[in-house]
Amino acid sequence: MIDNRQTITLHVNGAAHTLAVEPRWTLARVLREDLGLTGTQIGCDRAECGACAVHLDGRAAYACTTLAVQAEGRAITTIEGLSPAPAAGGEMRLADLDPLQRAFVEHDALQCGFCTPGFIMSARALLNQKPKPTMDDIRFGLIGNICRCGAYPKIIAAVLDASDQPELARAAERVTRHAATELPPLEVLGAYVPRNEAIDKVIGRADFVSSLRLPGMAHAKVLRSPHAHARIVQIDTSRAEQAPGVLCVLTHRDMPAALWTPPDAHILDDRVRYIGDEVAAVVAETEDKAADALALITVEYELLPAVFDERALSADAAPIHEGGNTAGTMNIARGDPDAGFAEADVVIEDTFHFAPVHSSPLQARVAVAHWEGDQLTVWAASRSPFLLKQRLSQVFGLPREAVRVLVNVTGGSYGSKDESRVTFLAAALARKAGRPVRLWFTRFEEMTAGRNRPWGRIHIKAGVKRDGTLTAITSESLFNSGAYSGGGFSIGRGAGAIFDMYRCAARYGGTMHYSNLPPAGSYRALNAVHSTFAVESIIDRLAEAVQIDPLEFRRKNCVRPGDLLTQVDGRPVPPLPLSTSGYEECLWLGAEQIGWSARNAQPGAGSGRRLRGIGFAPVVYGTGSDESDAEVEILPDGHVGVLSGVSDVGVGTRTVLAMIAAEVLGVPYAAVGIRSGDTNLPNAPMQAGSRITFTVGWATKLAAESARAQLLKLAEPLFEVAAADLRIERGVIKPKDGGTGHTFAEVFTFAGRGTPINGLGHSTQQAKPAVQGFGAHFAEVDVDLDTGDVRVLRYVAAHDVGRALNPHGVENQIYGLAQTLGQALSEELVFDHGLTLNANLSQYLMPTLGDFPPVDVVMVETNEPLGPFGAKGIGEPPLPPVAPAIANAIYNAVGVRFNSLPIARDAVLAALAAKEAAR
Amino acid sequence: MNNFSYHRPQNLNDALALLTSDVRPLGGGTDLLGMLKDGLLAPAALVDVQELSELHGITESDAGLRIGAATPIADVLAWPGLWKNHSLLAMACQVVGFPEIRTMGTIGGNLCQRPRCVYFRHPLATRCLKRGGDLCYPTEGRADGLFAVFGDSPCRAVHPSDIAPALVALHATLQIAAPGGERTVSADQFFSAADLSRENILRPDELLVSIEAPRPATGTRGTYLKSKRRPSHDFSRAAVALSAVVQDGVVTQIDLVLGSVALVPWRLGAVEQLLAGKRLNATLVREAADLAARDARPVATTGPSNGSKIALVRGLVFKALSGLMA
Repeated sequence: MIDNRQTITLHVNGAAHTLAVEPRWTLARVLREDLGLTGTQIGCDRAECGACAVHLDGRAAYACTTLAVQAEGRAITTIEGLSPAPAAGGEMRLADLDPLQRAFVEHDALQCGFCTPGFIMSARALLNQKPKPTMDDIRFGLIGNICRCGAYPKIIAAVLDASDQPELARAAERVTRHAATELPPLEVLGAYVPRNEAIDKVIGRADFVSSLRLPGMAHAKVLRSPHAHARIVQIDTSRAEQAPGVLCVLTHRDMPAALWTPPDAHILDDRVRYIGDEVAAVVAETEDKAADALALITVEYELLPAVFDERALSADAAPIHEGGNTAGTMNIARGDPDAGFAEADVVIEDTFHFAPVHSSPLQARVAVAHWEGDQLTVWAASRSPFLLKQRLSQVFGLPREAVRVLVNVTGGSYGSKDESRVTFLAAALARKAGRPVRLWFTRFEEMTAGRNRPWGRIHIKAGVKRDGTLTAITSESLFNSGAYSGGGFSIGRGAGAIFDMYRCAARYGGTMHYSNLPPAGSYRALNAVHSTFAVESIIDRLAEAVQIDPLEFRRKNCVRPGDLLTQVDGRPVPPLPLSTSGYEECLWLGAEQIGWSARNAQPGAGSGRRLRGIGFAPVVYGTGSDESDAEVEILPDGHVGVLSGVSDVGVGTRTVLAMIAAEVLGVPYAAVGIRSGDTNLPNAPMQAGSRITFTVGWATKLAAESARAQLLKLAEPLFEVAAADLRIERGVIKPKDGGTGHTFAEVFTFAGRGTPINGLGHSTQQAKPAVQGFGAHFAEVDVDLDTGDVRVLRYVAAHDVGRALNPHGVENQIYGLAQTLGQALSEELVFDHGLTLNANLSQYLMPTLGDFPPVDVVMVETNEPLGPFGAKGIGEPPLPPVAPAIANAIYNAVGVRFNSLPIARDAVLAALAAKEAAR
Repeated sequence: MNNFSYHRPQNLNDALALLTSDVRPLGGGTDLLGMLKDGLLAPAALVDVQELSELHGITESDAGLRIGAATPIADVLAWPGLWKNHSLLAMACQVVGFPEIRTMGTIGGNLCQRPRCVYFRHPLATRCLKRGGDLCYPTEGRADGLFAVFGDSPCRAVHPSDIAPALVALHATLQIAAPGGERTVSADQFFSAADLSRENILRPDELLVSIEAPRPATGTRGTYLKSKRRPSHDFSRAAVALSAVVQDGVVTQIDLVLGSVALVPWRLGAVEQLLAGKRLNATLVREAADLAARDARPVATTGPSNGSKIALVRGLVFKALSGLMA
């Protein structure tokens, strides 16, 4: 190894920095690690995502693919240099920001915020070149940056606003709200507010775990298996241990054989089960040195037979886990489906195939672990701090109170980042190294060792009477879970697309199996995505067979409020009446918006070489329930704070909780602070199941009500009236019948109280699983008969949201449909003989800003009585209907049905050619 | 990434003196640095060409453009009159990657970039022919979409450049600096996969200095059509570069070159011959499109095939030629 550091001078944000660098260090690495400018993010490390965009001599360039030595002599501007730095200790004010940063805050043009600095730098370069860009300039000019959260319409609006084109900006976001019932007035909730941590995110100072720097922190890299299935006979780590800068090497010999939940994944094992499985890990002073040392570890493997598909279930297949290769099965039924088919006039069945896809948040999995004696502190990019705490204490044999998990700002989750290998490895490595250790996956690792969506096939059979009454639907699925199934046994979620949507007899069965492929896990909306595609493709065909309009067909057969639900998410529940439904409003309002009545009456009937069509698909998705605590405090100086351990993975949880507390306490939103993402704060469920606003929001409402009651009680002597006769208006307490008002601080002073008021809330909501989020999606597509290119020209997403407490947040969650837009048309993780061929962002094709169609959002507000202030979950409902809506639109355009996802251009062209040949 | 040393020579001779088979020239780095990070290359040194004046800048005469090889693609696009006088080149440059890639990436780098074959690029696919191994993976694995349908190389990867087929269609020439002096070759000659280790004739001790693109005759119509797997940006599934003169409905001159269908840009000589001197009509265009696809062959594989690429070739050629009738 050569020590060839070169001394260079970099001009960054107007200041000169002279430092010694290795020529191989990228500018992104040097900015982050040596200059502490951590606003420049690393998402793909291959110039494929844009999270690291900076300016070189005034033009946008990607710092991950520029060597620091290359940048010498050039003027470098980072996100931190875009607006003047705040005075030491001072807060950054909105007015001091670059107009673009300001517009990103005001339009909430972000969710997790990981892509935001890069987006702003690229947009700034665009505006410098073109001060008043058109919509098309933006749609073609900002395609090099990926926002996996999908906040694209708001990003476009922000760029237009920052370029002083407010009318165009308004046109970029098309949102309508429809009250399905009378809605009580609200003061704070329902208004558009900037998210809690927005300023930090737009100035590059958000505290992502990947940007955390602890004194003495060392860096880890993982040696991964080149074999799909093997036993480790011998590992020689001696050379690696002697390498410069190396602190320690960890192998399976260091690990207790402790299994953790679910019981099929060791942290390190003497067996590897897929290409990419962990074999050993190195801790060194820098990431490069850790990576260099990996090459010095020699491993002797005994190869075992590998199996990649359903042959894993055959009797002679080598077992991947001790219990065999079945990862799980389920089978539920309602009524008598066979009798249903017998009375049907038309029965259609078909099999639908699904390629593996990956959530691939731009911030790859990352954790920092630090031991002080037997006290373990872990900072993790995670959606599940309390689950991590529990598992860490279990695996390391620690009492619960010895473990603290802090979830800083997390760069995207989308239902992933709950399984815990990265966290355990970091903790085990930190213990052995005796130093704080950071383990941050590369994009390649994220997309192989991070979890993909279980994939496979579903066979659907459905029957209908001539009058359009559905008589039965059955579904039988087989899913591949890869080598492990941590958190990924998600077959059940697909049952909802049948049981929770239609009233007919039904049966739903499925099997998940292991294989020697990269592991599957949880990804937003789970296999409701697959199931909705399969079911709604079949329903579309049934409607056509009995010549009933697809919308009317769905309306006729759908569940209605008061219908008894006997299962939710595939789990039996005591019969519960469906609470509310805005489904019909979604259908009719959405249909009107897309121009449903003008669609092709005859599929494929258009003329020319590009054909247009309109399609539709509905969704139902349960709002999850769970126990949650929350605390609301009022300090003697009058400040209000919400305390919750919950992780905000970018969805706006912190914002909506602060809004709820503000609503209850009669104070402005901006007056409420929040602390979150810490297991020392009140317990909250993990960010999953479209339930956080519903559950933690309810607990926060209770906590705020308790704090309010205590405050008004405290105010009684000051006003000399009973608490019941006081009200609070914009932070001022007043007697209801008029008179002088007093601030919260004045009440504390008068009462002589120097300690805060603490309101505690605990919500169970276990008895409320009958809350369902409905939606209807409509797509207009255009198909090129010569190339197979499919473009989504327009899109309408209508959702029953209960009540839009934080409308920015609701809209951004709906724009998350970008993820299944990708799954519908271009995303596919490609495996071959166990290799993952496209674990990168140039061959795994997620939608960029230029791929996101204009989306009309229709929010139907049903004021759900079981939710806080009427809210329902909206986290996952926007995902399942995207692929079937597009598939049905493609059918309407060209008259060809597609039963596999993605509906890639090659498949479209092949099908069109086959159709042509058959003619 | 291995720990290489870094040089930034101030003149061409110094640069040439540094180049050996173990040393790589560094332009924008958009391709090279990815290959280094994936461990596909481990050169002893990189030679940064950013200060070599011969490799920078654009000059224009009546004869055409001279573009330094290290000129960013964005600068080529910003050249005044490019869209008017060199529309095919402009169209090809415009669809390279996305704005930041065009700012960082150079025109020379675009021509010399390596295939995007997912096996060639995979750190563990060490048996790849192009990496000195014995197997062209898609012949035993997945040959979907991105693989070749033309050419007889045992390697079935394709050349990913958008600018290369345009320059071949435009009869551009390339100036190469070698230790013994300079040589000039046609774009056609430049892209010939002499052996499996490369897709052009450049030797490790040579440097691509500049590109000369003749100005097309007045009345020449240029078209570049690129099909991608998603609308915004992608390496092409296939692309067609067309430069033609049509007078009173008759094709008097035509160059038709495909991109991303073979290891090098692929000239459709038979189609050019079919069309030369003929009056364009819908039947002829359909005949030409069928002829374009006639010799295309999917990868012989036991796994998923790239057969639909043949339909894509037919479709793109049909589309491009149909445009001449408009």
